[in-house]
Amino acid sequence: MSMPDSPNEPAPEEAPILLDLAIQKQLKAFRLEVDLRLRADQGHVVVLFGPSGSGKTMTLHCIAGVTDPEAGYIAVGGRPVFDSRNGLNVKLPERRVGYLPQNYALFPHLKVTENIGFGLFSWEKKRAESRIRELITLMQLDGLEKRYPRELSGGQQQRVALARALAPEPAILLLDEPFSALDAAIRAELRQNLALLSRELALPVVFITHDLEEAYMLADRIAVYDRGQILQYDSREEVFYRPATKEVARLVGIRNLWEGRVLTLRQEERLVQVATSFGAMWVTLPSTQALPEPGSMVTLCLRPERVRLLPLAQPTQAADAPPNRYSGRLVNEVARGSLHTLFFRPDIASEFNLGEAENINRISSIQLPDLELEVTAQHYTDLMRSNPTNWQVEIAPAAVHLVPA
Amino acid sequence: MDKPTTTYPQFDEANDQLPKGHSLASIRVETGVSNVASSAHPSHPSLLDYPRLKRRINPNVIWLSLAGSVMLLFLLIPILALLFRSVADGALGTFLTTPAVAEALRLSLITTALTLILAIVLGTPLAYLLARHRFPGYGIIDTFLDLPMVLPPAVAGIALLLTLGRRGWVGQWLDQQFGVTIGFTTLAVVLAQLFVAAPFFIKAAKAGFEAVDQNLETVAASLGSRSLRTFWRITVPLSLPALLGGIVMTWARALGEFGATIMFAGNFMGKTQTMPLAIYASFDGSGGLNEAVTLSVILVIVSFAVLLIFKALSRYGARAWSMVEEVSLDGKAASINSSKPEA
Repeated sequence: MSMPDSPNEPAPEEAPILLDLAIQKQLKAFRLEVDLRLRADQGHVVVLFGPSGSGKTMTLHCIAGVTDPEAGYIAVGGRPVFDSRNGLNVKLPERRVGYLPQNYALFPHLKVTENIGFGLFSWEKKRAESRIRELITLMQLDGLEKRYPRELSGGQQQRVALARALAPEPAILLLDEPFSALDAAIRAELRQNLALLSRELALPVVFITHDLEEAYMLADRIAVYDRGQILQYDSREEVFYRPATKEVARLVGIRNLWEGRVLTLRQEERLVQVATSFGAMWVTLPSTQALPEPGSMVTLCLRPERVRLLPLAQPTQAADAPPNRYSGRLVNEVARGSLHTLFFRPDIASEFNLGEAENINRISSIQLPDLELEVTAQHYTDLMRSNPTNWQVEIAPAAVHLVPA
Repeated sequence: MDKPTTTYPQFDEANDQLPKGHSLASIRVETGVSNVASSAHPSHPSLLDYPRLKRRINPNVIWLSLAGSVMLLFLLIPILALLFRSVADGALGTFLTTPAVAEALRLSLITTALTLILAIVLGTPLAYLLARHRFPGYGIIDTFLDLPMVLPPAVAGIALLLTLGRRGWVGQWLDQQFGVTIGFTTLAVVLAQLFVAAPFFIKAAKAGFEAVDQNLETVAASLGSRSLRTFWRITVPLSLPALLGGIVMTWARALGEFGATIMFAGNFMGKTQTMPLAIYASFDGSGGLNEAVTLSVILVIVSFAVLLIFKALSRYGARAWSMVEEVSLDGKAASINSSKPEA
């Protein structure tokens, strides 16, 4: 089931619903149950994000009309196309969907212009020609009109496929992992193009990916899939920085997840002190999130790029007030081109004497979890200049997110 | 360097080899560059000093050619003998205009053409169904389609007699209700040919349709194209080589049909005596060997020509088809445009 929209978002009834989806489908042991609604004021690009085999493509196929859900309701741009209550099932040719499968499925025996114009057979010839012309310009395909698909590069093929899908002015654009077949450099470029294009087009776009960066870059809203269910459906910021559950946190690449126990609360500042395996940590909760009970177990989520790494200037203060500071050592590093992933192992400081926290500490301190953090290559170079041996990390209370344990 | 340098060897390495602040990644890049440089090592002579490798014929090719020529000659010599004999005796000229020969050729061309049309019209939907859908009994039907290809044509003849002959299940009914007799008519020839030859087309078409990416049809449909248009504009052009191959096989099988025809349709000149039957008849009786030779040579020439044409067609098939489509569409568009006064 999808999560309800967060209460801080206004829900104006007048905003048109671009996509409305409530479907279920059983395929052997796999069960798909999806409930998803996109309102025009929430943006128009929905990314279906999740591991392969989680039901993303099946959802897309149901919207397109390639497969039929067992039961449910689908409306595209306010027009119902499937409704099992009254047997409505608009067939693929009448659904007016721009569908782009993973391999683009360009017609190999047709030239670029013929591919783009394939859906314009019922248009008047002059109008069809000018539409093709328009799309060739929009997709920067000038000069390639007479080529066959096999004579095009992967990126060009994708642009032709997009142009072909857009040509008959569909009500929605459905893209199934459009970048998976491309190499990294072209992928980045096309991604950017598509991000711009989808902003330009006044057209709802549903987009499948299992690439995090891609999801964040292109989405207005993200539906996180796992095993046929949507675990969370929300704005990309909410999904990325405020995942609803531990599972979502894992799926959206939050590498630092720790168990902790709530120690104290500062209601007026919305601060929560949580005992973790390497010390007490202050967490600021947004007004939308209810404060946990003291003593309850929680999971702390922290994105690797939200940690600040500093050379250790002076011994760490006891973490009884924000910000959170921990001293420790770097135990490993992975260079990833523009980014460096560093693994930080906090020291268990002697001044760490918060009674209850210590109990937790004793239980789980046999193998301390390393803190994974990410710095840019430039920042890394700057940090290494003085060749420090001891480090400390600073974690802003607002950077940490709490989910139920 | 104290504690941490011993704990983290990669830092140590970085400090040893590079100015401070460089990462492992940059070390890797630099070693990569030096590897490239070493490929033009000075201890090797210049590439120009290496002699060219002498090309030798692969010994396997020799053995394969020897064994292959035996087979090839066995297949080729009888055909050449036939051609030689027909020219040497002047038989070709004398018998070409004999009514028996002319009639047989005419009948063969007409019946095989009809068979082909029926096989395509009735076989294509079945082939498409089998290519795109799975249902209970699929395997049985698929295997059943192979049966006419394996069975001796005589069995097919008997089976057809039992069904469509004057006393057959369907034939009896047709006779009583409509006074229609199929056995021993030209229609019987066509049916006999269809029975043994149609599976060749169905099989080939099925394989051809299966090879067309279903995504293409799905996308075509999403672009508003209905099934029939998608079939003509996408599926057929892309499976054209396979379809043409199936057509050739079917036609060839129909042209050579003898056993089922002689049993179900008989051997009446001008009515059911096709080329193979005429060859047998003349060899056996009236015309003698020369007429049989003439008929055979005609069959060889016609078959060879048709095979060549189809081979060429299937090679350029898909493209030729899309060009034909383009022309006809342009023509249509032009006629629509010309009929409307332009604004």
